[in-house]
Amino acid sequence: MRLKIFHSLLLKETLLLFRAQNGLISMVSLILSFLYIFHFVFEKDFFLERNTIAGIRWSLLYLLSFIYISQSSWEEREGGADRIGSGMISGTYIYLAKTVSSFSALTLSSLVLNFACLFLFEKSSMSFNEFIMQYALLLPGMLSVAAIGVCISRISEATRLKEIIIPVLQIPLSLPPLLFGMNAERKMLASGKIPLEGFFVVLSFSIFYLTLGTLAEEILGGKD
Amino acid sequence: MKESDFKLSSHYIDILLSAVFAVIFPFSVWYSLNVPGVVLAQGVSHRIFYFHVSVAWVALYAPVISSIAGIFYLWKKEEKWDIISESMCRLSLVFSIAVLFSGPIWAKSNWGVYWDWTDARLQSFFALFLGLCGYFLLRSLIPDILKQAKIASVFTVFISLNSLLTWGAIRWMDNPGNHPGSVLGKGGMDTQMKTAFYLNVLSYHILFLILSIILYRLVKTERRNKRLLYSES
Repeated sequence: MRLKIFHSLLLKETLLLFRAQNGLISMVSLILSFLYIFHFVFEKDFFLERNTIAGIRWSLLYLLSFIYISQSSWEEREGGADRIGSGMISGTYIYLAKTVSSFSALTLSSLVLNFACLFLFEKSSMSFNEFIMQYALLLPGMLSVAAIGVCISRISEATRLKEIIIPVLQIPLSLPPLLFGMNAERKMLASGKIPLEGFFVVLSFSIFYLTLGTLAEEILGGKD
Repeated sequence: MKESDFKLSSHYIDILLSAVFAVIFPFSVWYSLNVPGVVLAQGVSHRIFYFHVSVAWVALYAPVISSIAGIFYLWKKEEKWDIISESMCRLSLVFSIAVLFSGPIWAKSNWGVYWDWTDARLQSFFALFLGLCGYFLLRSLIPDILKQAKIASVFTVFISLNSLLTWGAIRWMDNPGNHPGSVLGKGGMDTQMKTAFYLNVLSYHILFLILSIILYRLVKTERRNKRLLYSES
């Protein structure tokens, strides 16, 4: 029964993310526009280094997380689904479903981003092993950004400014996983193998944020 | 203990702390500006270190105390823990502003720039500062006082993580940037420098204690006034 509720919530959240204002199409256009700007400004004179491309990728995903989370919470609040849902379903389920859907959207965006990078940046090609190692760092990084972002978005519901406040609160809390994640990827590119220390730091962030987010839901009793 | 006895003893503590601070603070400033030799590689600007590091210590551990008080509030539901938590965040914000002003003065004379965006310690400290600003913004935007206290308590736990990461930025990152390493691990200070440093640490900690007491009372009074206003209206 619980699994069924979670599945329905997940489906609803995913639809909400992608249906909102042509969500998927606008995200792909945003990614391509940003990458094209970098390509147009730099790649004509010199080839961007792999470290720089990795930095651009992390930063873009970071930016996208604000949009996905804020957009989803705005759509839900405007539609009234938030009020109806929280009356019947535990806040923890809603939080987890939102986190998983934002994380999936970010993962999908990162694949689009990687694919676009192959066309736009000369030095962005990588072997299959490097691809796997990159995702071993990106996935926990994105999970931590999604977990803290959704937690903040749930908290922001109690404020007068609602989702406008999300970036202000999310920036200081999601900067650390971003910095440690980029640092780990830089090490991975230099040594050719996955830096275990960096991987565990980013993984710890995701576990910490996810646990604390769930705990916050329990403590605050849903969105209160 | 009766309430009047408690008030009397806290009055004596105030006088004692203020007297100790009035003696130690001017002496530590005079000592650190005049007695230890100048570090030739850095020039006179190195003396800002005695102020900068002592103040940064307080700015870093105040959020940790705040989060502990926040956890106690969530557990015990007693308002005093939320007042302590808020007072600590206020203090940390003031001290972190002092760090953000004193650091660039030193950086300009040593690195040639006020701010280095590639430095992990600087970035993590700035994230902590933003987190503290976010904390007060969050508090001011939640009209319900009980909700405000609960949410703020949870938020302090996140801020305290930032504070721990700032402490660890020069220890855990492989290439943290230009920021000097830990002063405790170096062993490069001579006796006079150590004396000046620990005198400043002591005096800023006494200041921290005095300000904590004042802020605790201030926040308590502010809340009492607010409640009175609500009940009148």
